[in-house]
Amino acid sequence: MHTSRLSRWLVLPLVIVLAACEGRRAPSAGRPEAGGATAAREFPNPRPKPDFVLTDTDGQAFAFREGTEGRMTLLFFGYTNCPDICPVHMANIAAALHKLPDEIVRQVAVVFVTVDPERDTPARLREWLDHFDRGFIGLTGTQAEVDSAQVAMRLPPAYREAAEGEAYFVGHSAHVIAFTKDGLARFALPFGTRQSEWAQEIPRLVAYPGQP
Amino acid sequence: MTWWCAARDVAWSWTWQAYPGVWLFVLAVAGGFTLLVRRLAPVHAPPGGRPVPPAQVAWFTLGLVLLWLSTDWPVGALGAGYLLSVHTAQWILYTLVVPPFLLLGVPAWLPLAAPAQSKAGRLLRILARPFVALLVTDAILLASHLPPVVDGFRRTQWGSFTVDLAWLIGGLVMWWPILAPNPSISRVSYPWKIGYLFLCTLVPIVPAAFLTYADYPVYALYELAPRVYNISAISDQQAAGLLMKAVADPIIWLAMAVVFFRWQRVEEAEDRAEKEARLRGGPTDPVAAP
Repeated sequence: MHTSRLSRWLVLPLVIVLAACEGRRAPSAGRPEAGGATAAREFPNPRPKPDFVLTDTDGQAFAFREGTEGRMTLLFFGYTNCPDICPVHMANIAAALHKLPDEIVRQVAVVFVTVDPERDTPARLREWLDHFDRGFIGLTGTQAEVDSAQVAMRLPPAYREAAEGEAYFVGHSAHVIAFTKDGLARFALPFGTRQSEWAQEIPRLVAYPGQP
Repeated sequence: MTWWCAARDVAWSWTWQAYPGVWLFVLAVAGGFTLLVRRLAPVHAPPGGRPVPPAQVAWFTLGLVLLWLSTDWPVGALGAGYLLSVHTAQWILYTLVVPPFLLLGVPAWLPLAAPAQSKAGRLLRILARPFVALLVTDAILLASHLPPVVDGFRRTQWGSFTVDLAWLIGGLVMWWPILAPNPSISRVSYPWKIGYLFLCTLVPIVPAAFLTYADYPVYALYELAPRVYNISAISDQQAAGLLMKAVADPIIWLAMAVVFFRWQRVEEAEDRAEKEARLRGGPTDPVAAP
């Protein structure tokens, strides 16, 4: 009698917890979770840094390979009207960099290439990136130039999603590509990488292949 | 169907969203209370007068309105999936604001309808012990602020509902030793009430300190949520930590002050009665009398 009562009281919270956690697998609850799933993923075959040339936020030509040579480079393709992924990625990278020592930060280049050049003018891009860090490099170009930069990184070109008048979204890759200082793209960091994880990963990537 | 506020994958928008589960929940609380009063009043309410005085109806109604406002869009939606500071504001409302109003609306005869030997009667009396109430309240507070709980539960409607319900229950339990409407349920003296309320301010220091002083966001859910007005995750978290102490504590201090002044009033009334009795010539205290 007592055992059955006790087990009832033990089972009830268990059922509630399981019911509450069940949705974690549901596709609608698509926000990434913390933990191992967000760690840097290594490319089986490291890719060389592409040599595309785009326009920076000062309106000058920026050769990606040359402009980031010798620095660990984080490359991301996004757009400033992005409601979720882009601002969170940029904010998390910036927050981690702001807590790391200067000698590490100096060895890092963060490059944001817009996939929405129609709306992201150099000035708009600069203003948006400055919300996160004034040192972030913003690049734009013609749609064809931006598309070919993505193809050079073996990414599917971004595409415009269903529009409501002027307001439209752009579907794009959610990974940040990390180039180690030897000029090879070795890792991808998915959306969901947390500030604390960036703070661990950045020194490791800077020191690659050694230990920070 | 979206029936309860939970984390969503879309950017925050001020476009109104319907959460019928919230309305049903508030209606269920109101309906349950009304049903209980109607069913029990003929037997247990004192004869003559209304079973629930209008002032108490007003307290209970205010509690329900606050419950609805803190659960429904926009507060519920922002708190469940976008801003940790709003999540904390919800905790304050559920734990420190809504329960006192609801309990002030409960007539003194209602808890006595559950006989002391019955399960409900025993539960009401056990929960009126400050140590037990403190244990339950703090356990709910700490468990509901663990990162796996927040990150896991707030993602689903059932999980989010569980958190909200746990906070409300925790709040009702916390205030029960102070506001139980009948002295035969709670016999806690005034100084003990003040001491108990002070103890209630201690454990929230733990999550508040973590939120305020952590180098990085504690909860993945709020860190990775679409940003609202460019408020950074860490600023939002620090605001949450500050809210937990700078807003929650003054509410409890206010309650401590109310208890203190009520205690003072009762003692003054007793002193006056004693003086009056002395003036009439009779001894008031058989032990002190010569």
